[in-house]
Amino acid sequence: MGEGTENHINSKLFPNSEKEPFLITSPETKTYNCLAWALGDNENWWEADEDSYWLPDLPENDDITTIVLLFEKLGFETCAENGYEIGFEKVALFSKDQIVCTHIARQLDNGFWTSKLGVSHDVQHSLPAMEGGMYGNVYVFLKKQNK
Amino acid sequence: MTLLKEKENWVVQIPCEQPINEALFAELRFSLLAQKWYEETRFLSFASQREANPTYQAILAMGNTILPYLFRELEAGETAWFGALRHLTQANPVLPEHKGKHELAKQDWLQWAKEQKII
Repeated sequence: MGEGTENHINSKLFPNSEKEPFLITSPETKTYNCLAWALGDNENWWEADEDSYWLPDLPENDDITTIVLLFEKLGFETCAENGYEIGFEKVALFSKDQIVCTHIARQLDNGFWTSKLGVSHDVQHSLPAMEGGMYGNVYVFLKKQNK
Repeated sequence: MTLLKEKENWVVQIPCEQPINEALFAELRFSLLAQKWYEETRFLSFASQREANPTYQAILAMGNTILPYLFRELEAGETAWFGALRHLTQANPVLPEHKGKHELAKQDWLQWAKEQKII
């Protein structure tokens, strides 16, 4: 995987992206968001509002606790570390204030991570590349055994 | 009216025959605020966070006069306006089976706008 950013992903918003691995891997699209992409869904927009896909019996907000609950409903459990483990898929939830979830990234088999940046591109990156910027920092990891 | 970006500045092209009046200024204000909001929030995945943005709040404060502009943006493919449309119209024409599929939700809104003769 190479390094570097495209000019139109503002490095002020992701300051570490200039010195950490950070590569655009898709065109911009409004079809799916970071939560959908973290779940491997590139056909739906997932969030707790009246126009989007959401799981039943979940609170209708984007709090970290709610997003953790969503992943737990889908078979994930919180874990302490972010290293790649064979046979597991991992996600990282980001927050700026430790209350609201700002972003979710999914780990790839090569140990790097993939993220959908809102209505913009997918990017492949290291975790530090995504931290310290507009999404804040990783607050919690979750993992699920691959079938 | 056409909005063009030249480096850091926005340039507005207005046909000679278009009258310079309050409606034009409202459309111009909406267009500039909308572009600013897109730039400020394009990397955010959750509507509550995009809609907490002060530029978005300034757009909403323009009231129902912006409805034709919102539907114009929707027709152009900008699907971030569903919350604004619900707020301003108090309607929600998105079919339950279209939730999550914003392209289909967009079509539901555009159909509703035609039925209401907004577009």
